[in-house]
Amino acid sequence: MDEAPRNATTDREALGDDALIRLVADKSTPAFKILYERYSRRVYGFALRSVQDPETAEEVTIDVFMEVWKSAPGYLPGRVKVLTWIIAICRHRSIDALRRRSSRLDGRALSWDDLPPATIPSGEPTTESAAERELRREEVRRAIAQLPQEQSAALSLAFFKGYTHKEIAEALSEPLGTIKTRVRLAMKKLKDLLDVEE
Amino acid sequence: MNAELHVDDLIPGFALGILDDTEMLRVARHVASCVLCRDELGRYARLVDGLAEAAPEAAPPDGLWEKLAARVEVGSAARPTRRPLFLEPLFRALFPRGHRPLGVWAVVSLVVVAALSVSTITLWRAQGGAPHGAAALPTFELFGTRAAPGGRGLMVASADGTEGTLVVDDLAPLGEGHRYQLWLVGPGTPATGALFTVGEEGYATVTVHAPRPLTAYSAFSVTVEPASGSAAPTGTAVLATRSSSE
Repeated sequence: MDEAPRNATTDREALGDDALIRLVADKSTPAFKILYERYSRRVYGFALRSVQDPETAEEVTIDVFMEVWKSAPGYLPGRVKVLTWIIAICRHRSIDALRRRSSRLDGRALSWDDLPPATIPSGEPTTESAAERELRREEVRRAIAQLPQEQSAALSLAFFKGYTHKEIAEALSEPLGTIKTRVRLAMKKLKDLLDVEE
Repeated sequence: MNAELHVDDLIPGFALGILDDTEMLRVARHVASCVLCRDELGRYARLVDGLAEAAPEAAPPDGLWEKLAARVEVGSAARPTRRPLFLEPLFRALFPRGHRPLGVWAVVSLVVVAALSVSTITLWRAQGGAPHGAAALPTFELFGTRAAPGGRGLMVASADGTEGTLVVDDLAPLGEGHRYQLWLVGPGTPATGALFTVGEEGYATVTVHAPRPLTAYSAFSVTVEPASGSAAPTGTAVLATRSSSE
């Protein structure tokens, strides 16, 4: 692994995500560590919420960052945000981990209510883009809070656990059609509230 | 298009990856030919991304970085980085669950590729991961030449290799007198795989017919030819491909 002089590391800490990923693609371990420090709370937090087990969440987190390390050369700056990319990997890995565990369906709703207030992640430069991202995050929190509880519960099982409509219906002891409607209405309302455009 | 034929009700579930196989196929087939629903799917996919970004944070356990760094060291020493197969991340992005019947995967692979823009596929491609089901279907990436530096494409072959779906993006629309021609390059004279045009947005999905399995060819290219096609390449090459397994 390369050892960077202190001032070089400091420079890297001020880098934006795209620049960091380019360094990671070149197998810069210091850059990789900065990326980890910047987003590991997000990744571990999502994984923990999904798999509900600290040990599995830890494995998922390692798996996610290993994938970032391997796939960084294929990342296309400007096409998708680095955080979006990393969290998408995390969601898929978390759901895969749940499937591998083959645990019985768990209908306990994963509440969205305790989403934390907006913060700038540790290690992230306080750029305008970071602030905008946190503002957006706050908007998502508010939009989710506006969903009826039954819609929010169904959506959380679909989103965090990857349950199918049928599995959600079984887990919540509700008719399949009811669950399909709840998930659809929840997604539509969020799309409208968040004004998701092209 | 008749609104009754749209699949609006299923698109949110498709974006979340929670539909059953029948529903999944229905959406995939529909969005392959419906711009409205394809755009709607894009919006819901972005919504899912946005929700993921807003998920709760939690401090990882102490020592996790050290474990990760050790894994990176071992991985770097053990093997070179493998270039992910094109469809692996696409399938993982859309359908993170495993255990799909192979037949379903095979059909969905071609249809879904046809349904999505090259840009979208390229985004998902970067997500990497292990293949599920038919994710290992032969795929070929097309790169823009100097004549069309922004051009891109993806071709996925059927399981037997005699058919494929080609998606191209960012190619210049041609006048009435010309068409793009896909060439299957192997021993002897290149064979024609498809003759096609692109819309004003530069996008097209094309069915490819091959006299031999696509995997038997060593290279692929797209050239500009007269509207009736040519027996051999005569015009400017705009795209060239290489196997994703290279």
